[in-house]
Amino acid sequence: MQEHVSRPKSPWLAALLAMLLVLVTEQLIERLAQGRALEQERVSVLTNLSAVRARLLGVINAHLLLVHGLTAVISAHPDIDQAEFARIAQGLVDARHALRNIAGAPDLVVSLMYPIADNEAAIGLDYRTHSTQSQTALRAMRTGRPILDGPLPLLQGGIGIILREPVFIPASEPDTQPRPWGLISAVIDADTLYRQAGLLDEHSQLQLMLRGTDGTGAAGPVFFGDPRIADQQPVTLDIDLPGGSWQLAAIPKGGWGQSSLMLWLIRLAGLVIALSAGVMTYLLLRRSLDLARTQGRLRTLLNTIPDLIWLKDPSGVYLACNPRFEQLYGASEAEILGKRDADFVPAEVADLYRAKDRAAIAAAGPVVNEEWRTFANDSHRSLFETINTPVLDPQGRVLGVLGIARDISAHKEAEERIRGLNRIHAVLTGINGAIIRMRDPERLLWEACRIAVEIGGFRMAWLGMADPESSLLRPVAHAGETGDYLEQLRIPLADTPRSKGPAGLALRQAQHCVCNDIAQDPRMTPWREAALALDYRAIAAFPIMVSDQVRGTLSLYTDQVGFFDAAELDLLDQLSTDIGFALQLLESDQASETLNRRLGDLLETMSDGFVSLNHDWRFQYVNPQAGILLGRDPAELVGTQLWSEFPDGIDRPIQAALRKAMSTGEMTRVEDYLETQSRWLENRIYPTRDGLSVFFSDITERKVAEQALRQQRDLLDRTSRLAQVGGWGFDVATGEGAWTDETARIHDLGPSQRVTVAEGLAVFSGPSRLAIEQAIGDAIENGRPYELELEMTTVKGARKWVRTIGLPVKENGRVVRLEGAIQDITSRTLAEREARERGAMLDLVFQVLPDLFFLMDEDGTIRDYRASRDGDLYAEPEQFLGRRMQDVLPPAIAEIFERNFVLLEREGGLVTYEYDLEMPDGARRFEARLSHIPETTRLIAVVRDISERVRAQAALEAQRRETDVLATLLERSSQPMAVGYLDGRLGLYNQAFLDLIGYDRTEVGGANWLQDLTPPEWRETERAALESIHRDGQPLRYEKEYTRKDGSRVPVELYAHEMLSALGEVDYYYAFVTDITERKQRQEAVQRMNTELEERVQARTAELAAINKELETFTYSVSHDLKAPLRGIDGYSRLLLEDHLDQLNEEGQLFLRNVRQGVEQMGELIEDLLAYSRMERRGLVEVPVDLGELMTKLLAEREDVLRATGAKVQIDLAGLTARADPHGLAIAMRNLLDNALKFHRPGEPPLIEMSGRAAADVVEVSIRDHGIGFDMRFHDRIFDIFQRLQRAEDYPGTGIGLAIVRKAVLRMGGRIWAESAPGQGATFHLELTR
Amino acid sequence: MIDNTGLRPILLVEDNPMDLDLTLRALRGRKLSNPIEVARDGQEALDWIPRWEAGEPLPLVMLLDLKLPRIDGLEVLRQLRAHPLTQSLPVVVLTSSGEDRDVDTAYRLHANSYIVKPVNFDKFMEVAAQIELYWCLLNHPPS
Repeated sequence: MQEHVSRPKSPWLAALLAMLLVLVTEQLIERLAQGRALEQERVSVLTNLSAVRARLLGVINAHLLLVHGLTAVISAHPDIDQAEFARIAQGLVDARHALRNIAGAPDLVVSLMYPIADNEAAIGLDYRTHSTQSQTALRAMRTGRPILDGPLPLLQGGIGIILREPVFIPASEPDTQPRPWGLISAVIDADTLYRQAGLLDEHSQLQLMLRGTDGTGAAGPVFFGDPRIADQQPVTLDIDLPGGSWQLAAIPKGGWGQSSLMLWLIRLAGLVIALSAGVMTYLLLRRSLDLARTQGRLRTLLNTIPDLIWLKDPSGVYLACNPRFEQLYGASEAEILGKRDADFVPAEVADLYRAKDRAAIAAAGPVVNEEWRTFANDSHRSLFETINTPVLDPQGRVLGVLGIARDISAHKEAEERIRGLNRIHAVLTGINGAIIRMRDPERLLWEACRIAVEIGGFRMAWLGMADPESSLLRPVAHAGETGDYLEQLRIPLADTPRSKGPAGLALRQAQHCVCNDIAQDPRMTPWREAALALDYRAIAAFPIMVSDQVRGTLSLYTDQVGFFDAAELDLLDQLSTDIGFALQLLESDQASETLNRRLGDLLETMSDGFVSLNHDWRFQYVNPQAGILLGRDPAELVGTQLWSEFPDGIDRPIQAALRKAMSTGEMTRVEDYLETQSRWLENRIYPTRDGLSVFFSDITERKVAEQALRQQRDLLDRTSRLAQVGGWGFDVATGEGAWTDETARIHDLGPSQRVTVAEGLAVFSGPSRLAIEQAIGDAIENGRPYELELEMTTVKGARKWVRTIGLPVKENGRVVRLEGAIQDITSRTLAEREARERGAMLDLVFQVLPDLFFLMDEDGTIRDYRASRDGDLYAEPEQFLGRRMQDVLPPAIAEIFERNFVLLEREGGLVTYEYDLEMPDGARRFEARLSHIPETTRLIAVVRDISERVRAQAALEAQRRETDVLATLLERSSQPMAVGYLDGRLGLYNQAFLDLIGYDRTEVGGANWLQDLTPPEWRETERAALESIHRDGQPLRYEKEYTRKDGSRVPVELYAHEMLSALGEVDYYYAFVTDITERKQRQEAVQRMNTELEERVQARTAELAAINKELETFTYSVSHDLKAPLRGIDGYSRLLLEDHLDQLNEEGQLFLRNVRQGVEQMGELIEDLLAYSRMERRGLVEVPVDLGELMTKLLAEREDVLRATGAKVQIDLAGLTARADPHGLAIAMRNLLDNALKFHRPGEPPLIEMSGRAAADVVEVSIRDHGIGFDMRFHDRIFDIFQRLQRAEDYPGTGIGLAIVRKAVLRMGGRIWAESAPGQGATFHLELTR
Repeated sequence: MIDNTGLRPILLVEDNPMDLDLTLRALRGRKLSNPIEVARDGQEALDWIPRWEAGEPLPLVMLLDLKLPRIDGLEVLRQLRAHPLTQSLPVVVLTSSGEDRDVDTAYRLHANSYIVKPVNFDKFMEVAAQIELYWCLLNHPPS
């Protein structure tokens, strides 16, 4: 089809065409490249800026929350004071936060402030009238929403952003408005805020600008960054704030287009190529027109361009195309040339291309459009920007249409991405706004979904919450087209294939999960069909974290495969975090609100009364029921004082309980009667932080019922007690049961409901036990009831008779229970027995009584008799039975009887008379008592032998006479004596006693021996004496004084004893009294002498002590002062010998040596004297001293001497101890040892033996030497001071050693002595206490 | 501080002229170059305190007799110990008395040492030499 091609006629034209072509192409490339670079830069800026915005919002929100927390506290405690306010605010205003200060303005006047320092000026500020701040303050109060003001310069210096949040006190009544409290105003330090938000980051790639002071948004003034940024097409993001918004704008550091070097390269390359193409074309065409006419040459150039290039003639026939175009149609150029689009693509597409060509021709210039083209070779689709340019000849005729198509898929993609990110930003902004705005979590979730779909352009969004009840991830909010997709989601919480979709994974893995191609992703299998039907192509699910726990998911669906990439996911992660954070916040808000509301509802509707009291006993809350129960209007009670409103409660149990709860902080329960309402109330008192919560309910009915029940029970109890019948019952299987109080009482046990069979049976023993056990056994086995009368012995030892009835209770044919009654029949049984026994007893009585009983007719005929001894009868029974008494007895006696019969007949009652009767064994006296037997005509005569009694009376009379004599004797005795009763009355007393106490007989009756006669200080002595008499049963001699009638005292000695009554109690005391006045006087004289003597001894002792003391001081200082001159003498003698030896002859030297030796002896003498005097003065202790140990120690001290002298010492003191002063004993033993070592026989080494023995309370130590010994004549002298038996030249010494020993031993309470003979050695014995 | 150029003195408190002379002889016999200051009674000994306060060097050791005119040795010791400057001054009691009571009291008042003067002059010389050797050469005194 080459013949159809119109060919350029001139090489110039061809060159121009070529240049034009290249330049057009270059411009196209440049535009595209430039656009792409800018786009990439803007995307990068946007991404960075989003992070900045998120941080800034985060920091602002954090501070909003801090302040919001404070307002919540104030809502709950509207009467907060400065101290409390400061305490809470202190936790907010610290280095971690940007808060500089917080002010509280109740009723819009600032009165609370933290910190106060530097902010004093603000206290008292009145927002209603303040010139600059009143507007926002009032707006905040009006809208009820917080408002962010500023940034503005602060009085205190620096720039601050001021958050004003209105505070409302929740309505106490439903359907009323919350009451405004005032305003909280917090100053946020702007610089700190910027720094925390990273705005001041030096390494930032962005130049930032913030505008919108006071929330005026994009229209407001710039307050951060360079205002010129606004003119440099910045990327902008809005920041939603309480009460307005800010706009954040950014450009890259150093402005846009920094990376456009590429563009210049492209431009340069384009120019070079265009020029060279032109030149080449021109040269080629000039050299060979034929060659120039060959369109194939152009291809060399066109081949260098990666775009589709084609040339069609005006009729749409392809004249040329490049290799890239070949790929599009999947045919070689040769195959394409001469053909039309319709030969390769569907007719409608071909028509479309044709229309574009025509449009270009019509426009006589390039026409740009975008179109999708599908490559035939690999069938991939790309979006192309196509430029159709008409190619004209110089005459302006259309030669054809040049098409250049550039693949702009990537460019489109970038645009899409920016759009997508912008949408997601919008979503984030919108949802953050909702978070700040909304207080209802459900509405917030719906709003979040709505924003995601409407603003974010997602196909669908749903929020699911894990629902433990159904074990499903339950959708709770959604937006967009869902069809029935959500209904058939059914994502279980457990790990199953259905929970492996994006939402399930996000939920369980706590991180987002993306499925960028629903059609391909196997995880979407369960929902794929439904998803694709709704044109869901990609999905991303995000976990919603509340308090670090995955609570649910946000799932977003889009119709674009591969929509989600890292930048989007970052933003969406941020979004889900924000939602979780908001939920957490709302939940905590709402939980407490709900709780409060529920609590309020509960308290309002509760059937119990409830009041809360503060520490001052004022009502803070009174619920309606409390109002009813207390008979008061709750509204009136609130704020009043409990005890002034209910004074009746004072001193009642309720007051004690309330006080106890208040002071101890423990829950208390009390029942009390409210008199004003005639109600019993049960009160449960719970201490709270600010007082008490008191729940109370009306228990009047219960109390009345209880009382009725108690009365009934009492009645029953009394009845059964009267009948002495008790009930009981027990379970056969367990042996446990119960009985009534009366049964318990019969058993002498306290009331107790639960008992066991064993306890019930314990009272029976012997035959009773056998009988009852048998009866119970029979009742259980055979179902036979029983009734027994048994004897029992209670735990208290009382013997009782009881009738007990047992009734078996059957269930399913088996006896499961025994029930019965028990009755105390003791009194009845005893009465019966008594009656039975009385007859027998009467007989016994007759036998026991010594009396004779005669039953007679009225005329004296003897009908019966009883006699314990027949010997008492005057006649044999057969001789008097049936005969008259008068006829049996001797006539004189008969007459007495006859006379008394008459007397009885006349006077009735009892007639008593005596008579003497000669019996076989001698005369006896009888006493007869005659009486009618009631309701009969018979008489009874009781005759008693009173011979003995008569005789006894006579003896008594004789004794009485003797007593009289004795009494007379006592009375006249000079020994005073008296009888005293316990109550102080005097019984018998004689004249001598009266004389002693100075009373006469008429007065003494009123004198009380315990009170009047005994002086108070003697009463205790007397009481103790009498007690001792009673205790010992022995008479006692003791001294006391009597107060005589005239008040004077007389010392007496009593010899007293007691007389006991038949019961063993003291009946009276009797005493023989001796006046000891003289004896006393003698004793006192002796005592006085003794005292004087003692005083004299004490005086002498004191004198002696003084003398001793003086002597001691004397000894002390003399001994010391003696030593100093001695030292001088010795010193200078020595110096003489040393320094002036040459001036001394031998005799002089000898003298000096003697002087020095004298000094040495004098020194020793003084030392020993001092030791001796010390021994005198030493204070002693007394402890056990081990003698063996002591000697071993002393020998060790003398080791040198022992070695030098070759002494042998044997010690046998093992196990011996003495109680002694260790130091004193050591001195004594040391001296004895030295002594024994010293006085050895010349030329022989000392041999010393030490031994000891213990006696009962002493220990004796003996030290034996084999030395020169001494004559026992000198025994006592050797222990005296300065006594020597040897010459000093032979045995040097001071003669004080043994004196010290003796002093030491004597002072320890021991003894020392010695045994010796000249030349026989000496043994010193030492006796010490053990 | 120990003055390296001048040696710190020994202060001898002794009333008995013979004892004083003999003690000085005994101490000088050692040829030590430490100067020896003498106080003849308790008051003189205490009069040193203001001089030490004024900056005169504290003695290396004070040799203190107990039986002294005016103020006795134990009282001197008590006052020294009550004064901040001298509460740790080494004090050696050098006396004829070997009484327990004196020994106890001296140590209760924080005497650094208690030495009974021997009557025998040779022994006395020996004691003096040992005192000097120990307190002037071996002991490291408080500054």
